[in-house]
Amino acid sequence: MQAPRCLSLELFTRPKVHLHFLILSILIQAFGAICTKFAAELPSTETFLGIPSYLIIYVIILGGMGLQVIVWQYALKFYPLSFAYPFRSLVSFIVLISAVILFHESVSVMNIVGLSVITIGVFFLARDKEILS
Amino acid sequence: MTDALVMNYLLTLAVVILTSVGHLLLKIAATRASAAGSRIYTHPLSLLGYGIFAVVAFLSIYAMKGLDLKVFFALYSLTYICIPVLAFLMLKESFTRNKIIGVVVITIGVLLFYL
Repeated sequence: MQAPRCLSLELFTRPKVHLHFLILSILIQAFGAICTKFAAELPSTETFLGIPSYLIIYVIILGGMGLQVIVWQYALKFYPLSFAYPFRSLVSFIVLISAVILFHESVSVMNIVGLSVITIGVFFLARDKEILS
Repeated sequence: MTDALVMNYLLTLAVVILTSVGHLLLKIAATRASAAGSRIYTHPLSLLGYGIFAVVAFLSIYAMKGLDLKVFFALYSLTYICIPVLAFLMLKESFTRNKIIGVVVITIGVLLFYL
């Protein structure tokens, strides 16, 4: 079979089903980070049904970590570690967007530069032929 | 540099190394278990990996206490170099030119993002 001309685009337009697990793992990771920040900002006096709210969030975070490991290891079945792990750096996108929308943090020029550089890196990574085989 | 600060940097380094080893173990377990047709999540190496991550979570709290969060995460970006290198050495994963460029560029990107 003739090799596709643009492997990077090929990866995203005709992905193997398992890439979805990798992306799901990133989403859960970001969800955990957001919950951790929420827990850190909650006043310790706040309760829900008599239970301290931060305690409830900690349980959710722990559950998220467990779920993330399951999804992540399932994705590892199908991808080389040297592709799957660097791919996870895309989590920075969600971290930055949620920092702005949920926590009203400011965006620095370095954040934008860093994200652009990460994206270029993932683009190179995705050009690796082994990923598509 | 004070002794306490040196300690925090050493702890962060330990976190980086243990995290890398943990992911390596999860990958080996996933490969072996699926080759043998057995369960991934109860494979001994998986369990060892989960144990290491529990230790990492504990160590991270202590490392973060004395370091700025962005310094911690900037150092943590070393995992993006460590893990592919380990995968290359231990798992004999292929290293093409594109992959090396990708890994280096991503690490620089993560460093810039947090610094």
